[in-house]
Amino acid sequence: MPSFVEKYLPSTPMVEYFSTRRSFYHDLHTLSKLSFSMSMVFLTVYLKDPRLILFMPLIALSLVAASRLPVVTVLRWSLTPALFAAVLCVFLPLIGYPLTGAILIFVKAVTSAWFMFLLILTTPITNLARVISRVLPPWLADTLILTSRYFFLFFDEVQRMFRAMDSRGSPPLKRKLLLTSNMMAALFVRGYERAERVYVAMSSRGYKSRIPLASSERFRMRDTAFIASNLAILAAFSLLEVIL
Amino acid sequence: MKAVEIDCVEHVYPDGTRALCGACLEVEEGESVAVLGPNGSGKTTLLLHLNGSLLPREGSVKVFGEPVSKRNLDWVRRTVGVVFQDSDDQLFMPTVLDDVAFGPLNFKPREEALRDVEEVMRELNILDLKDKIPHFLSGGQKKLVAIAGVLVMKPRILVLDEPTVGLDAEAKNRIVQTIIELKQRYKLTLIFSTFDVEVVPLLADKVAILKEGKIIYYGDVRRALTDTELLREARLNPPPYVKLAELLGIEEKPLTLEEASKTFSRFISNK
Repeated sequence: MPSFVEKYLPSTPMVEYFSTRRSFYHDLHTLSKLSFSMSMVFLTVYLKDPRLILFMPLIALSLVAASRLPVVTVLRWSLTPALFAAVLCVFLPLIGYPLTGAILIFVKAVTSAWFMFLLILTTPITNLARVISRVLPPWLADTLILTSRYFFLFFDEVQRMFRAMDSRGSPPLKRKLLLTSNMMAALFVRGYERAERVYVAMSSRGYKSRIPLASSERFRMRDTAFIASNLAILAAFSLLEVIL
Repeated sequence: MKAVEIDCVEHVYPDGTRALCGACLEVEEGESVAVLGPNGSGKTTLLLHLNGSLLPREGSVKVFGEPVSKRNLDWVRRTVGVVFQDSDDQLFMPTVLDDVAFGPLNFKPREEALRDVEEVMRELNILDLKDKIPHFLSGGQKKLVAIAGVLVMKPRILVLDEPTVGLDAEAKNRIVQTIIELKQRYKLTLIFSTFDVEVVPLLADKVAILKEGKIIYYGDVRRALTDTELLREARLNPPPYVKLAELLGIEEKPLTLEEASKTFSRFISNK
C-alpha cells in the first residue's frame, strides 16, 4: 500500500523515476524548462481575464500528458497545494472578496503547481540544482540536493515511528497528539545527528563549501526554438490581455 | 614504514562522554587490522581520528609520519579513505554517479575525475548503477557504491567502519571478496572495525580489541580469536568454529571454514 507521502506528495524517488523518462520535454535543457515554468507561473498570476486564465490549466495539463507523465497521479499530488489554496479561497468571500475572484485565485494556484510539477517531474534534481546555482546563491542549490536526498528518508523515519507507536496500541486522539509532538522532538534530534554524520562523510571526501556535480547538459538548437516559442506565448497572452 | 601511529589518543565528546582514553596503535604499511569491540567501546571514534574527521584532545595521530592536524586535512583525507557504517550517511548525492564523483571533483579537473570514476565503477562492477538513485539500491549495492566513492580518491589507507553490518550472506561475501581483491590490487593498508568475528580471519593480519576507549589487545588474529577469556572480557562472541571446538574439547581451534573442515574431519576420524 502506498504511504501517505507517496500518495499525496511527489516523493524524491518518484520525482527521480519520472524525471528519467524520455519525451521531447524531458530532452530539453533545464534552463529552457525552468524559464518556461517560471514564465508560465508569472503569466498565470498576471492574467486578469477569466477566459485567458482558464486557458492556462489546459496548457499545463496538455504538456503534462505530452511529457508522458501520469496525469491522474499529478492531479492526485496537486491535492496538497490545492488544499492550501482552498483554505485561503474559502475565507476570501467572507472578507468581502468576490466569489469568482476567489475561484480564479484557486485556479491560478493549482495551475502554477502543475507548471512546477511539469518542471520537477521532467528534470533530474542535479540538473535543476546546477541551473539554480547559476542564478541563486550556491548554498541554495546544495540545500536542494541534500533535501531531495534526505526528504524521503525523513518521511520513512516518521512512518517507522508512527508504526512503532501504533503497534503498541492505538492511543486516544488527545494522547496521540501529545505523543506526536514528543516524536517531533525525537525526529529533530535524529535529523540533527544524521546531519552531523553526513557532514563528516562530506568533509572526509574533501567537501569545502560547494557540492560539485558530475553530470552536464548541452544547450541545443531546439532549446533556442523552445525559448523563442515561450516568448511568443508570453507576448500573445499579454497582447490578448490588453485587447480583451 | 608505519602507515598509522596512534599515540595515547584521548577523545571526549561535547556531552562529556570519554570515547577514547589513551588508545595507542601502530599499523605498518600494507597491513590489515581489525578493530574489535562492543558497542560504545570507541571503534568509530578511533576510525574517525584517522582522517582528521575528529581531532584528539590529547595524544597524536600520525599518517605516514605526518601528524594529522587542521593544516594538512586535504592531504590526510586523500590518503585515508573512510567508508562509514551507515551507507545512507555516505551516499548523500541524488545519483550514484554524482556520489562517486563527489570526492575527485573536489580535488581534480572534471575530465580526469570522471575518467577515474568510470574506471573504479567498472572495476567494482557497478557501472550499470551509475544513473540510479541511492535510495533504490540494496544494502550490498549501497556499500559497494560507498566503497567506490572512497576508492576513487586513490587512498593509501582504506578505513571501513563495520563493512558487513546489516548485509545478507550473499552481499556480505561479495563485500568481503571485493575488499580482499582491492587490498591486493592497490596494496592498501586496511583498517576496519567489526563485530563480525567470522570475517576477521579472512581480512585481517592483526586484531586490536577496544574496551571502554582503551586497546586491551593488539596482535595476532589467531591468538585474539581463540582466547575466549579475552573475547568475553571485551563482550565479544568467539567465532562459531572456535566455540564448537571448545565444546568438543579440541585443542586446535579453527578460524575459517577450510580449517574447520580439516580439524573436524580429523576429530571424527580419530573418534
